[in-house]
Amino acid sequence: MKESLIDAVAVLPPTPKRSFSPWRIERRPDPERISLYRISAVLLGLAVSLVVAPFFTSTPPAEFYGAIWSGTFGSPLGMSNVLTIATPLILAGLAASIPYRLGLWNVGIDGQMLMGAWTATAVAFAMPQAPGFLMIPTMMIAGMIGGALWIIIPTFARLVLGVSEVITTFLLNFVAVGWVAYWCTGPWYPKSSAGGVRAEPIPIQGEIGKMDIQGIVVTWGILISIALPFVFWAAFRFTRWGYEVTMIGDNHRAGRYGGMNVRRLLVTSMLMGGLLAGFGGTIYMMGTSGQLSTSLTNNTGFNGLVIAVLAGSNELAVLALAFIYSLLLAGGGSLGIVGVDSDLVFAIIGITLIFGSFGEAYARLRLVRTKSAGARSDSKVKEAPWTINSSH
Amino acid sequence: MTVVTDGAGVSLELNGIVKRFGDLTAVSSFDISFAPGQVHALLGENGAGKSTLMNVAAGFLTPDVGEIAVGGQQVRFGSPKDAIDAGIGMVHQHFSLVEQFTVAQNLAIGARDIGRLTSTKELNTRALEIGERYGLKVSPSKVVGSLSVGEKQRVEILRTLSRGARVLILDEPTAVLTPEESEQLCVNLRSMAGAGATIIFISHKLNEVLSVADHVSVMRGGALVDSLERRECNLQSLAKSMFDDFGTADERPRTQSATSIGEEVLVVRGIQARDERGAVALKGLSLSVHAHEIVGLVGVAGNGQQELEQIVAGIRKPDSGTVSIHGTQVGNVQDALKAGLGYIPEDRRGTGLVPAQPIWLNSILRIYKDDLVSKGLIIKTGKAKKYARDLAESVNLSTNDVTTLVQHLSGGNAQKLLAGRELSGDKSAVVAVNSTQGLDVKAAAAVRERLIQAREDGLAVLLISADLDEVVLLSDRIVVLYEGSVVGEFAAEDADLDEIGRLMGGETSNGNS
Repeated sequence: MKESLIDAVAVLPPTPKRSFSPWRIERRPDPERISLYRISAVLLGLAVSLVVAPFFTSTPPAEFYGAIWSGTFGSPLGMSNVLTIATPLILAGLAASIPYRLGLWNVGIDGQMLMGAWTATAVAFAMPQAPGFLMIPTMMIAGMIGGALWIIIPTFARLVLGVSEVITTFLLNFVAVGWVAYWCTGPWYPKSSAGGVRAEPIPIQGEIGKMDIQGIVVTWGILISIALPFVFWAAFRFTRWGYEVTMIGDNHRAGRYGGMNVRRLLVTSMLMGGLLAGFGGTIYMMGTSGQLSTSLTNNTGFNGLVIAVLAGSNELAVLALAFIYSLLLAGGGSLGIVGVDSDLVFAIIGITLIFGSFGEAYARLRLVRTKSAGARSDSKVKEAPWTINSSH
Repeated sequence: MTVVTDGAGVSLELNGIVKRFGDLTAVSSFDISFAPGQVHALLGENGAGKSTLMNVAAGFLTPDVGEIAVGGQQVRFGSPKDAIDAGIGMVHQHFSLVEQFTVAQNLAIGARDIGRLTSTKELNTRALEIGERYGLKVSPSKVVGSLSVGEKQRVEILRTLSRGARVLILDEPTAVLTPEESEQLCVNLRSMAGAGATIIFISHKLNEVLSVADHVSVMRGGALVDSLERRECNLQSLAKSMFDDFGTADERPRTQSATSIGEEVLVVRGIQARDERGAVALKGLSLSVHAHEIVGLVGVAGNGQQELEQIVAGIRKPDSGTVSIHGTQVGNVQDALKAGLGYIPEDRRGTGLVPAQPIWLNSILRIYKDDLVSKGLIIKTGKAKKYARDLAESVNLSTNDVTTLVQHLSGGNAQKLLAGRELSGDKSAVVAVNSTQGLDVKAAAAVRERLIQAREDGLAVLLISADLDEVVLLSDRIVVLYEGSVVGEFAAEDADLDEIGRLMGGETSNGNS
């Protein structure tokens, strides 16, 4: 028989693999505190990269850290900047996090933000004489609807045809940019152009007000952004909808067995993602940029996705990570003042995030010292997201 | 039929193996050896450490301390692949098949005798050959995901054998098989052992062990308490070794209903349905279950049981036909719940429970819309937790901390929770599917008691089980299912096991109906 020779050899004891190592990777019995590990790891990564970074620049360390400090906690201007960046970023994080609980990837947050802002702008231009108290809420609602509408096609493509939402949401980003570019260069071409693809600014009464807390100037949109993670945190613990998403997210068969409408939940959580993204884009435009532009989101959507994945189905972790991320962006931005290449910031962010993902692995696995070597990890990636096709 | 094993068997020795999980010592240092040419049964309650020990032997777990020797040679396994290379293969209770692949493709995974480019036809031929060689029938082109549990297990066993395992470890292999299949398996195992293979048979079924094994080792609480030749042991002595506090072997739940059978409760009329592949699974099946009655539905796995249970529970829609409970038609899960249907699915961790979530969230899975635990859109967490604590107490769960994750419960406790949940509240009927599968004797008895209690309480109980002994023990009426139709029906006292077995196998009934 063909196999017999191989079999005869195989009876010899196999060479132990990685036997040089007295360490072994083992699954943690209680991997419940994953987000804690992740956030700690992110902070550690931040610390490590900040310590190492000055060695790669010609700027003296004192100036380097001084710039970062004054760009964040060290000055009211820095803090204003941090909070301004955080406002849409938290919402983008939630926009990714909520579908992610059901194993769905919203990769189109930037597009949804743009479309939200576009819809809000359209509404504002349609009622230019309306007073602020009318215009502001109308724009916000329009922004949410615009964002939600932009995710409807991917949602139903997934539901009915089984088309991956990763591809459709992602590609619609480019369509949104094109759409906004058309309006910025055509119908809404600004009366006084200041460069970039920007639309005519929205009416002044449509802008949301700013708070001034001891020199820290920020729109009150930040309050909504900070409150929403808590709202969702509570919703996932205390509402039927939250219960359904939690149970289906872990086991969709059990969800169906419990009488849940899995398809409806899929739709609502995707729409919720689009709605939050649209709101994020709108609130940023109404409070910060004051006008629609193709560069409005500045990759906030992708950053939000990264935050959501690192936060792993924990809305409060989304808030914490979005804040840390904002510190990095703001602190990094101010490095330019002391002549540090802005690419360094991306390196710092990258290193920090790699630490974050190690943190996740560390939360699930641990190294154990052992006499009998032969390392093997029986780790399993989070069970593959359920597909609608497998349902019957 | 001839059974082929690839070359001579090898002995397996496990010396001083210790395996801990956190504070729990699953296996505590002892020596055990498995000789070639024997069926060696490893007997013990759930949680006795049998599976852990064997997972160490098959390279799935690395021992904290201890040595493994194959054919007298010291080995170290870094992975199951190392173990299979040394000729040790294990078939688990939970299968490691690729659901999306066909049977033939699954059998090709890890195979050494096929090239990188092999046509589907060749793979199918190969699969058929493997099946014939080991006496287990398979359909090569079927997608594994659409197979019944019993069929999947056959594929799993075949794959292990075809990869050159000479030490074959089977973790409770007969749990899902029909009597005929079990018998066939036992015959096959015996002839493999006759051909020199080393068979290790993990089980907690005493009768089964006595009928198939040459050597029996009994584990309890991670330790080896007995290791005997077949001729040295009997039912009584083995049971004593397995349980400290075992009463008498005859202590079995009552079988006959005290109350006379009541009105029709669960009525299934002319159900036609298709399976995932679109093939006809149920051919106009009709069935009724009365109050104070247990109806046992027996049949080889894959004859329409899965479709029937899901239709009754409202999870699946039939092509035609109706299901009603107390005259109320069941169209979806909510209808079934409102009509008072409890449903204990076979796949407790995959369907019945959400293992990654705590006991209390699982306790309310089927009543979370009920006023008892929710108000409008809000879940009343305090009430829900109290409900879960009461449930845990009523079923004697091992823990009363309802924030414990279900994945940390043993199989027996998970099933107690599931059965308790489905039988509590205002119920009129219950569908129980292989509810004692994989449970130890005590946990299985507890679940059976619950079902008997349900009958006493006036519920209509539909018991779908692969364990014919259990069906005979509990049922007032036995219904035989074959290829989507009822092919025989017996009152409990007239039940003839041989006849039932023949009907399950597709022989036509001679007069009984």
